[in-house]
Amino acid sequence: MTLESVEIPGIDSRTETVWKVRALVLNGKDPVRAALFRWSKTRPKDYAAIMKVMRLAAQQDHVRNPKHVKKSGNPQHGSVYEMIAYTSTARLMFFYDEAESALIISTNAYEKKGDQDAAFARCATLRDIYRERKKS
Amino acid sequence: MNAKNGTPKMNADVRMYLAGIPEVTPDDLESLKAASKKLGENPAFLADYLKSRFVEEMLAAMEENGVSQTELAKRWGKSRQYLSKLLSENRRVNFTIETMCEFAGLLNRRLDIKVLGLPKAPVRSYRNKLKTNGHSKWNVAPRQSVGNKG
Repeated sequence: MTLESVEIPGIDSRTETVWKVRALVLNGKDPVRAALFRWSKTRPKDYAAIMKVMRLAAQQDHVRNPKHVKKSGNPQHGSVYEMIAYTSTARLMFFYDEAESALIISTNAYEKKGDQDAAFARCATLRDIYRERKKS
Repeated sequence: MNAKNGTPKMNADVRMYLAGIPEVTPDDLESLKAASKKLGENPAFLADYLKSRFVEEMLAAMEENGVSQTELAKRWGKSRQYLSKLLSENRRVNFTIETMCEFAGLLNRRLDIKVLGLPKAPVRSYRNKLKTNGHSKWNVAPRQSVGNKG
């Protein structure tokens, strides 16, 4: 199994004043950038809204406005969050990697009316895999 | 980070989810770069982002000062509903620079505006861009001077 964290086009060092934002690529699968690419083509408003939240997240210790970022309400997931395209359906799940390198890792995307809890659970699983790999 | 060989912990749901993800090609990434560049130059996007950033910073200042919305609205002489709309970036609330200065001042903050230079090709004047050999793009003869000729 291969695991990488890759840069996200549009988010660079000028934006990343507090956190670096990266997308998780697992076994060559790149769900975050695939979703961003799809939204940029088919739903530019969603794409713009998510990119805005990503910039906000990169520049704050944590995003306080629940309109933009929400933590999973399920305690089993631990600290996993979603970036919200307000009044729209696009969502991007992520977690913070506070331990080492100040990173926000985006793991997966989901669209409202889908199973939000499952999307958070996926993010939590991917976070655990990431942490485990980092240790080894 | 790039890691190989570890204990796979992927469950069936994640495996299925990843299996459905289409490949992201270098062309897709180029397109994504272009889209983000275009977005970064869009005044509406930038204004919306700055508004959200301002609200975020005000929320952080409220947290730091331990002030509730009700308390702050009272101090400001505005209704709690108004403040709530402002903090939720309601489009009906007018975000003037004056409002932002007042709000920031209440939380012992000062608003500043900076215009930043970007590494970009020099901006050509609009008029020069349109003119070709003394004529405009639409082949209209140069305007004659108008005035009292006596």
